[in-house]
Amino acid sequence: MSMKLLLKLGGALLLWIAVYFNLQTATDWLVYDLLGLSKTEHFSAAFAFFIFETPKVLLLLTLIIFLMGVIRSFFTPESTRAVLAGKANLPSHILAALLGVVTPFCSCSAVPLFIGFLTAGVPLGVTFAFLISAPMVNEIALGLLFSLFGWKIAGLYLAMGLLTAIISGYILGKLGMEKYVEEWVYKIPPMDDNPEAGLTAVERVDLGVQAVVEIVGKVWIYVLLGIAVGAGIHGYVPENFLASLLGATWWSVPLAVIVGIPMYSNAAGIIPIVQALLAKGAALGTVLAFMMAVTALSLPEMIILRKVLKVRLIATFIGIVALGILMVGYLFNAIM
Amino acid sequence: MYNVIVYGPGCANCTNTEKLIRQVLTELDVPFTLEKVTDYQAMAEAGIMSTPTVKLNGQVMSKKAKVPTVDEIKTWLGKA
Repeated sequence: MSMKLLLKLGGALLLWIAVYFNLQTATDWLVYDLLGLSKTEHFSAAFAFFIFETPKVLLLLTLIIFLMGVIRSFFTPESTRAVLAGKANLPSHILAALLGVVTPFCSCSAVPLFIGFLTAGVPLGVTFAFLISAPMVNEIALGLLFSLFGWKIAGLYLAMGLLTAIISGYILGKLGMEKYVEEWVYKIPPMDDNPEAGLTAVERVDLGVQAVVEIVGKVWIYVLLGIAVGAGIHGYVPENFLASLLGATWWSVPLAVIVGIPMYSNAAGIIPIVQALLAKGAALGTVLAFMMAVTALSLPEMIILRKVLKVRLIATFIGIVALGILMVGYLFNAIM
Repeated sequence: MYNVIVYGPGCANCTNTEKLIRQVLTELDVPFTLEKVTDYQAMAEAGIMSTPTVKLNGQVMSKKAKVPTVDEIKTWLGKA
């Protein structure tokens, strides 16, 4: 790594730290000194919350997305496939779920990736473990959960998402459903690996910056909405408004999953909803199950998958993943 | 002559990639053909695993699963 790049990165990090740790002071000064709002009024508290929370969340998000962008530059679908080919044991399912988090993946390439994995000899269950984890446990979901709700919830989401992917993939593999993959898929000759030249440190940092520009540029509006919801509905909707409906009752988790499956949204889009649900007394397990169902299973994705999978396999896939999410929801509600 | 193929099923990233490449090529005023492949089977047969993938004169240019920048496209064209 060149000296110049190191200095730039160091400078950026120092600036980040300086801003991040002075946010509270700056907010207090702006809201109570400069604007002269009263400290006791409800509106000024909500306003101060918004002014403080917005840059804080965006700063955290920027840092996480940047780091993930750099980490992802070390992985390609091809390298991941090469690692996963051949083995159908439990460790390979775990590895597949983990690689799903760090391999660059756009949900519209799920089908080409699926074919690429199978033709290279990656077992069906391992392929599914990857395909379940990749859209569900990604840098946007983790970055947003971490910035808005803290590392505990982000960590739990990560662990539970991985667990769902590993178990679902493993079961799908054990069921021997290879015959429910469309025949033409197995007739595709194995692909070349088209190895790409290694990237330089500057290029990796560049990819991190590009990820920040692209992702933060896209999701900031949802973040703002989420924070505004958090600040705004406070006091206007009764605190435990949803507790009876979506609290830790036995049927709140299945309800969240059933509502979540047909919905199609990325992690950013449902953040305002998650924020609102949590603020108003919905149980954490219920909310996370909802978020997982929305991101991991969606109607458009199933229609696309129909091109390579027969209905029976798609139905089994939905059933097993939904069951996994259900258990995650119950587990969360039980331990929190 | 630049022969460009963009592989992608038609999500926003793929459409934008095609648009951007067309724009750069048109601005540079060079002769080119630009083809978009959306069929999964054709993609698989070409060995494409992430989308959008851009092929220029038969060579894979990008597998980063993201929309290239104008500068990146120009660098590719310089290499071909």
